[in-house]
Amino acid sequence: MIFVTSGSMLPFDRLFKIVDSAVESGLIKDQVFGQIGEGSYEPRHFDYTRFLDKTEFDQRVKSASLVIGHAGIGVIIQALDSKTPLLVLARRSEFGEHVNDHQVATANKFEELGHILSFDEDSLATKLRQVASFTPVPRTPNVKGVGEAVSDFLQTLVHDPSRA
Amino acid sequence: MLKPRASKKLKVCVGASSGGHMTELLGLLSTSETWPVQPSVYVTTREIWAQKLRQRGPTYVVGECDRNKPIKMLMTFWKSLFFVIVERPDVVITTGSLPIAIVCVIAKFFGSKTVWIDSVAQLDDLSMSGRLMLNRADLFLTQWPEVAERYEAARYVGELQ
Repeated sequence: MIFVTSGSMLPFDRLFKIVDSAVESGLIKDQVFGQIGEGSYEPRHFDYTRFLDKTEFDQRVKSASLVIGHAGIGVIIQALDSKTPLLVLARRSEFGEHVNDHQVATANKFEELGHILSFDEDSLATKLRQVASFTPVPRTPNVKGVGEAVSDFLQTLVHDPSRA
Repeated sequence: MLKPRASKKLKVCVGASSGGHMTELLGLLSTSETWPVQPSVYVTTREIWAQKLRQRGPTYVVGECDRNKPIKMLMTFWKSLFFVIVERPDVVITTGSLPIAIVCVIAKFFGSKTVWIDSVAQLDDLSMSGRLMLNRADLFLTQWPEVAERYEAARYVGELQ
């Protein structure tokens, strides 16, 4: 099962149009399920819903053989945590898909680091072939370090003599 | 600048927009047991996340907005102002985005300290809301060393994600 998601924030019709026509043309043969958010394009060749609660969303990402999504950090991290390969299409401001093009940089950077693969209109077929042999490189975050920086900052306030 | 209400215990608010920002915040919150004071009030942009956060404590919803939607920004402003006046947090800690930056700017006006952690999605440069907070936040962290190198006020200590 391939899970296609726009995330919960903004519509992303372009993503669902590309995937819909890939299913129609037979490029994608697996079963597809979409979470299309507030998009106005309704896929004709696969089942979809607009929103999923977090539990079901997590389950979809975990059990999918592949996630196709926007280049949002939430889904990227989630796919990495679930060890599910992720293929992303970056939202672009020129199409009104986001306020700026930061998803392009995100897609490129995370692809460069071996975490994900990214595609555009022309490269879906190639990338789908790549995905077959793709194992995502896991992330190595330093949550503890960030937590300590916040903790140290709070400590300075606790001991601030100007607070009575 | 108005002074924060005097109290012995710091009132710590944490908040983030729905989506990736919230995922990052939840990562940060996994470390909160080691903080000298625990968060006691929460702020987010959508009801869907507020329901989860209410299990932790009182949660306010200020609505989604971006800089292309002035009416929504205004709505967020009023909801944020209401939140700050009612709760008067001593500290607001956030992983973004713009709606929570609005909360921070208002909270700052009422004397709060602010901690801004720019999203890991901001790998080329700071976010717009990050730039708004760069010289306003009392602690400003970015999750990419390359970005921290470019701004004196920004520090890199690691990633939440």
